[in-house]
Amino acid sequence: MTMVTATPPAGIANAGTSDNRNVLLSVRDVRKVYGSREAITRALDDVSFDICEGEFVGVMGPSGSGKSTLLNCISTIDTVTSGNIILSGLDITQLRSRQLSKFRRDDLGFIFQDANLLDTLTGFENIALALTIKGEKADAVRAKVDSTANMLGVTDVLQKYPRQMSGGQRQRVAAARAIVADPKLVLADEPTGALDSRNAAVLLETLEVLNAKLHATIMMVTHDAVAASYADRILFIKDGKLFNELRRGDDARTDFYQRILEVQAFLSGKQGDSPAVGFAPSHAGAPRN
Amino acid sequence: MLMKLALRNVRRSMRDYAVYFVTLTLGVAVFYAFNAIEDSRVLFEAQEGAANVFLASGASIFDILAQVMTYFSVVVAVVLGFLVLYANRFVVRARKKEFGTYLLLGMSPRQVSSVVLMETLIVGVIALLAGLGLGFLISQAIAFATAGLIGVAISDYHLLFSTRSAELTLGCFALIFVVVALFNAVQISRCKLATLLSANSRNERMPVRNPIVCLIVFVLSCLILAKAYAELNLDGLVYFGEHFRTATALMLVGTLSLFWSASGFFILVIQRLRGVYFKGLAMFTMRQISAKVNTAFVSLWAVTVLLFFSIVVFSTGFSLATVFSDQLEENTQFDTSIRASLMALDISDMEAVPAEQYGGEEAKAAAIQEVEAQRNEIHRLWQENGGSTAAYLKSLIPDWDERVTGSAQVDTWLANDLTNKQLADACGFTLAQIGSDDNSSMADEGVQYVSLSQFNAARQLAGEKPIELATDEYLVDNTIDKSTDYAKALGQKGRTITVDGHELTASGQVVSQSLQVSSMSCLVAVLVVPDELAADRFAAGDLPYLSELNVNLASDSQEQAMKDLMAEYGKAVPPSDELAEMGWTYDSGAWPVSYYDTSESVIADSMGLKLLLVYLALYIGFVFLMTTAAVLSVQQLSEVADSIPRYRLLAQLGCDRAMVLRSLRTQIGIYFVAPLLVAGCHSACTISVLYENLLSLWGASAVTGTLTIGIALVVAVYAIYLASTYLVARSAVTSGAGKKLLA
Repeated sequence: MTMVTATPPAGIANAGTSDNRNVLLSVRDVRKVYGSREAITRALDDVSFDICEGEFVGVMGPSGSGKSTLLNCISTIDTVTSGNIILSGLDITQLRSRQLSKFRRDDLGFIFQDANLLDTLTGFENIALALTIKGEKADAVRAKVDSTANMLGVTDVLQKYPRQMSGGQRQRVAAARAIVADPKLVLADEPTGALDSRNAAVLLETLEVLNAKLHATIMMVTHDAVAASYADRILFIKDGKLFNELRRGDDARTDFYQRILEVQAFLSGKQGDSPAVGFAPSHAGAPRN
Repeated sequence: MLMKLALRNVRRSMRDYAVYFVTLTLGVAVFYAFNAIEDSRVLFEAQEGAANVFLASGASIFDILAQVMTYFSVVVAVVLGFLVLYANRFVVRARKKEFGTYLLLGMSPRQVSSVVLMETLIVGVIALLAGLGLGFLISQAIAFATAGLIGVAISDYHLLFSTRSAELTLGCFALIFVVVALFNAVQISRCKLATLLSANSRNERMPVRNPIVCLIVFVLSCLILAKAYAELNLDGLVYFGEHFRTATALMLVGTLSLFWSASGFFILVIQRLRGVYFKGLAMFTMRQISAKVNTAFVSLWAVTVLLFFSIVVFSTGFSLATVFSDQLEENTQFDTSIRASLMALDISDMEAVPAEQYGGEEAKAAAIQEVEAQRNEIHRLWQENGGSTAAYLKSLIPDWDERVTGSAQVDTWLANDLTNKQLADACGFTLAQIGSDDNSSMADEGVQYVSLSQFNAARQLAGEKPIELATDEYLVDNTIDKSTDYAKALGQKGRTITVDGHELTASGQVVSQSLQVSSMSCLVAVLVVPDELAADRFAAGDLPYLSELNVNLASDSQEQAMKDLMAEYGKAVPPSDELAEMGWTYDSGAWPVSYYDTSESVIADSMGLKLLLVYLALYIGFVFLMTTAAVLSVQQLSEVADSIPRYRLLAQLGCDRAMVLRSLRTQIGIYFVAPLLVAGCHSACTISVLYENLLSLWGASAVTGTLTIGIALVVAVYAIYLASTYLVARSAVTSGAGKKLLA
């Protein structure tokens, strides 16, 4: 099983992301097992990887591969069976329930597939809520919401209710909500899943901007190769295991896209097939020309 | 097979059914208990002192109670029927998806309907049994309460079960179930499979209202309500005329527009308060409430109106009951009062009536002549007997002295030269301050006075010491709370007034001495004056306004003794054929007996009225209150069920359990308290007007106490529903959002 080595030991992983950035998230030997002893489902099987500050990481894999479970474990919505998840030095698998809530509101930002805005609140209030539940000073809320909305181009819809917005607007408001409180890590779960291609492109460009200008660290789960091609690095998951890793490096997005498609084609091939040479363990194979 | 599914469904959706079940059980219990009151008569009617149970008319209190309860039970049944339908609708709505799944799996609509029917039946039968059990317990408690209220001790107690009431209850609720079952069947068969399956219930439109319009409407509503209160005050709940109708209409309109605009208005206000608006989940809480209030403002309005009714009925029912029993002792100091109403013989009133009402000039002249003749006859007898009722009766009834142990006559005269209005003005009072007004007939009537010797005779008959007055002095006798201040001012030592040509000075004494047997106190600052005033009037050939003979009887059984006495009297003064047909044993048109009241009958009437008022207040008040609380509860729970995804999102965004539950508490609290607050304001206004004009007149100083009991009851029932709603909602939210997220 050569592909297992796609999950590099910690040391090598750090070496792989050697561009002087600090590791923000460290996932170590995470397992998630469902079911009883007779019928065990390994949703995650010894997954380990790191994400550095300011990185835009995509997680790809076919349905049922465990990518959503991984996201849920990192977002503490689900618990791991074993292993550790460390976010800036804090092992979140050891947190108690109240600390978990605090962790989610202080350190994480969420972007869901269907925006998931509160339909009774206006755009402004949806964004502001992320600040108020954190206990932000009342005086600072309006300014922060306004500047974030401005950056994401949703100033016009702030006084509208979600049902009065377009799908793209809703998703950008959701993005604004995710980053307004300045989280350490933004988790995006199929953020373009419910959007048409034009709106999807706008949202992805927005994420790119957030990443580039605000240095937001983003982890995006997607099965869409186009969406994934906006990321710096892509982790491929299959059958609960980290299978491969692609780095964009200085590739043009279209080139990166082609490489993603190739990996995808391989992933959806018959199980047990040997990986083509080009898709050798990524830390070695990632092009950095 | 279907039965098995139904049983399992009931067990599973216990939570959905909880409020429905509680409401049904309480409804059945109350319905049974109040209809069973009649059958508790067996505990009382055979008892010693059971005279208390029988009214002057000879009917038992329980006959009247049974009748009234049956009438009101119809209203109650209709209200409960609607409530059950309403609660049931939410249970069905919450499970539309489930029904859709059944249809998808190949069950026929008829089968689905019968599953739902069976579920309704299972819950209904359990609730019916539980309700009857609870009602059985309540009816035992009511029997003891009855004993306390009418002052009869139960010596031979046994458990009571009213078959009649149980049958009535079963019949009524069976009918309600049939309607519910039909309703469900229709509702399910009319649904398309697609809508059932996609019924994720969030298809209600949420109206968006312009905040400025809301602001204006809200302010207008407040003004309308203020105007309504003012109008109500003008009517005083005495006339029920134009002002009352305006007040009612304004109150209804004002309340509706208040709820229509309230959430818009408060959002506008809260958004200006940064410290509140930007704090934790405040925005979410505020929007949740406002969305609900905006869509459900009509039902909130209906709830408020019902709540208003139940508060007023609860509290005034109790207050009136206290009024009647408080005054009982002072109004039954003699065994009986024999009355001669002499004021009815005034022909000037008759002359003012148009001739058509008599059927022509001739008929009118004949009628006037008849009354004149009657008056002349009375006048003759009055003069012949020196105005003494007792002397005349004694001459007609040979064994009068054996039957009567003592008597005291009290004649009330109206002054010829001093009206009530003039006297009140002189004391610096308006008639409104003493429980009347300038338009009432009392304004231009002469002030009432009685002779000192008659007053003292009555006091002695009642076992009190006589009161001395110097010549040309007067004192004031007043038994009504409302006019106490006026009586004090009028009786202030040294005040001089001129009555029928005599200049009199106040002795400074103001007493409260009842001068007759009656169901209510009725002496408004009556003057007690030297005997010569009445003597002068007698000499001038005048008749008093009212002449009463207070009598103490030899027999213990007052009603029977009076019946015998009047039969004896009737031998000398037989009734006309017409009167005899109506049951009179004597001529009530002749002097000196127009009618009589015994203490026994006054007590029984008062007890009966008290019982009726208390039970009606409890019955109607409780049912209305329960209905409103249940409607609010059902609405909140369905709102919570619809909002589960929102709570899940909040949890994902990092709101902890405490934050989410605080928001939930606030939402449910405000949603429950808002109608109570509005209804409370309306009730406070209504009750204070009622107190001002009616209750205080009868001397309800204890009203505050009973008001407190009424309000406490309202709050208690309300609090129970609020608390259980919160508990059910809390478990729905924590389990719905995932136990892990909201641990």
